[in-house]
Amino acid sequence: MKKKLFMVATIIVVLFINACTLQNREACYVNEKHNRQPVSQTHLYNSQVPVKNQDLNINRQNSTVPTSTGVHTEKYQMLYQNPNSGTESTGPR
Amino acid sequence: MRLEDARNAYYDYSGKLSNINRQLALSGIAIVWFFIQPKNNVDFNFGAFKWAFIFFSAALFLDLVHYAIATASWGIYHRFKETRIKPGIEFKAPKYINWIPIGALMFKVACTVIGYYLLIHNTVLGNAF
Repeated sequence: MKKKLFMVATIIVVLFINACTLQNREACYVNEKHNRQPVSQTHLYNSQVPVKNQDLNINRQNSTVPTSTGVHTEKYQMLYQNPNSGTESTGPR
Repeated sequence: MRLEDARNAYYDYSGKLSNINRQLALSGIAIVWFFIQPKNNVDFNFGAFKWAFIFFSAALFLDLVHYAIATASWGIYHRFKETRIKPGIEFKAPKYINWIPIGALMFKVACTVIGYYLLIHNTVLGNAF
């Protein structure tokens, strides 16, 4: 009986953690921190990034932006800032 | 359909879920109380209903935690934003502000379900008698 309750509790905890981290999966796919190579104008899609995650309302006129850590494209600047962070929900009732 | 429609549906159904869960937890405690009534002047004993009672009580406690934490967190966040931005400006709240209320909602529903499972298990299968 205790084992069954423990298993049920474990499943519920895993589901809860999975639901809470669901919003962060888009940022994980980008993996921008480990890929700082500049993208040329003719190569808008990075083969290391899934295609579906590259259409995040990005201005396709790529322009290079010099920073202290190197040269980044505007595309990676917007992805790194994660414009989809935050929520408009005030929680469950 | 717009994002607000989906959000309003989420608000409506989560509100109904909380209300139903609260009523079921109270009903579960009433059922436990009925079964543990003393007979023949013998002091009552929870017996097999002890864990069912604990889970129903936990569901009601988590109900309190849900609304207390949500009230405190949104009240504090509202005051925090009120002192920093002008009215009418749109912004997004941090995601983690809803994590505890969401967790409380999930766990209180789980506690009620487990409590009824124990209640039915102990009554239908006759372990309480």
